[in-house]
Amino acid sequence: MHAGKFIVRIPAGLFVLAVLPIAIGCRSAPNPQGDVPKNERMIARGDLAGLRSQVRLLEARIRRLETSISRSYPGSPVILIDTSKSRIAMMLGTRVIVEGTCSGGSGMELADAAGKRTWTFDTPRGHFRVLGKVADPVWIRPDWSFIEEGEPIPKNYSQRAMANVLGDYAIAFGDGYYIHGTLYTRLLGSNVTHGCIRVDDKVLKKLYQAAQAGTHIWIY
Amino acid sequence: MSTRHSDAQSFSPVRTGRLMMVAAVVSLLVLFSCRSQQSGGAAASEEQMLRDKIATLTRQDQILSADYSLAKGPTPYISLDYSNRKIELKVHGHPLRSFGIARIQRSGGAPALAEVWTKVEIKPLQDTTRQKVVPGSGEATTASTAAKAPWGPRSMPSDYDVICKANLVLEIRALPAESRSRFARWFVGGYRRFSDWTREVFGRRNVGFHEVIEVWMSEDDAQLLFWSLPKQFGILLVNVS
Repeated sequence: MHAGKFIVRIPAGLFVLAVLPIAIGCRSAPNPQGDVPKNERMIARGDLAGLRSQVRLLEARIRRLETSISRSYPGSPVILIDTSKSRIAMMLGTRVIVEGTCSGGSGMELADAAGKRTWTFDTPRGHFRVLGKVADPVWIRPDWSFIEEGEPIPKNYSQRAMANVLGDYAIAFGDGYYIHGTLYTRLLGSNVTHGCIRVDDKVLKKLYQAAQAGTHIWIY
Repeated sequence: MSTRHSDAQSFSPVRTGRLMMVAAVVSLLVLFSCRSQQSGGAAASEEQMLRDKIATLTRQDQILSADYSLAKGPTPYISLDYSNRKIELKVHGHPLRSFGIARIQRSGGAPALAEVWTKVEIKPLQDTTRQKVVPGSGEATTASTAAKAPWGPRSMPSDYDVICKANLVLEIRALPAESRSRFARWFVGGYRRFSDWTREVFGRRNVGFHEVIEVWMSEDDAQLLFWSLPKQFGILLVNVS
C-alpha cells in the first residue's frame, strides 16, 4: 500500500522537483547590470517608450545637422588657392575641374618718396566671391606701379591704362584683386605679385570659362 | 477495511489530479514571478542602454551644433580637437589643412565638450621682416628679388597669441623644426621655454584672461597656420573624451 502511494505521488513530486530548481535558478540568475532593485521591475513601459522616442529625436537632429553641414558646402564649382604651395584649383565637390601653378603676393613693402604712403603686397586670405570677369583686360595702373617704376604719377586717368599685361582674361574678386595672366610665366610658383593671383594662360582660360559671378574663392 | 478505504481514496485519480493541479499552479506562479523578474531586468538593461545612447547622442549633437554654427558661413574657421590633439583649418566642415598638436594645456583644466571662440586679434611674439621695394627699381627687378628670397610660411612668426572675445586666448607655441640639427632644436626649444618663462615672471604673459589654452606644435605647422589665417575667423574647441 505504501509502495503504491509512493508510486502514485511520484509524478507530482517529480514535477515540483523539476520546476523548483529552474525557478530558483531564475530568481538567482545574475543580472548583467548588477542587482535589480525591486522598483525597477516596475519600469513603466511609458518610460522606455519616452527614452526610445528621445533617441529617435536626437538621431534625427544629428542627421539633419550632418546634412546641413555637408550641404553648406557649395554644390557648384569653387576655386581653392593654396598660397603655401602656389597651387590653384577649381573643384566641384571632390572632382578637380582645373588645377595649376599660381603666384601670390611677394609680401614686400613699398613707400613713396615722402614716406607718407606705404603699400604691402600681400594676397589676402579667406573667403571671396567672383565679382566679375573680363576678356582682354586693360590694367588701370595704381599709384604704387608708377612709384615702383620710378615714373611720375599721371593726373590724367587715361594715362593709367595699360593693355596686354594681365593676360587674356581677368577674374575680379574684390578690393582691386584679380586672378589674371602674366608675362613673367617663369616666375609662376613663386610669390612675386603685388597681391593678385597670377596663373598661366591655359589655366586662366579654363577658370574664366567655368567661373561665374558669385563663384566661391577660398585663399589659404 | 476503513484503512483500505482511506488508502483507496488517497490513491484515487481525483486526488492525484488535484495534487498535480496544485503543483502545476505553484510552478506556474514561480515561473511567472521568475519571468517578471527577468523582464524587469531586461527593461532595466534596455533603459540603461538607452540612457547611454542618449548621452552619446547628446554629446554628438552639441559638437555638431557648435560645428554648424561656424560651418554654415563661408568664412574659414579653426577646429581645435582637444582630445585628439589636432588643429584643422576648415570651410563648411571640410578641412583645408590639418596639423598635429604636440602638447596642449588649458588654465582651469580640460575644456567643455564644444565651445566657439571668436578671434579679435593676433599678437605675434616675433617680428616679421619684409623686404622693401626700391622705388624706381621696376617690376621685373622687384619680382626677381622676391623670387630669390621667397615670401612664404617660413617668413611667418611661429609663436603668437590669438586673442579672442570674452577674455579668451589661444597661445600657439612652436617646437623647433625637425629639419634643424639636434643641437639647434635643443637650443631653440630651451630659448623659447626660457622666453616664455620670462614673460610669465615679468608679467608680460597673458595674465588676466578668463581662459588660456597653450598649444605646442611643430615650428613649420605653427608658421603655416599663421600664414593661412584669414582676417576674421572663429575657433571651434572640441573635447570628445
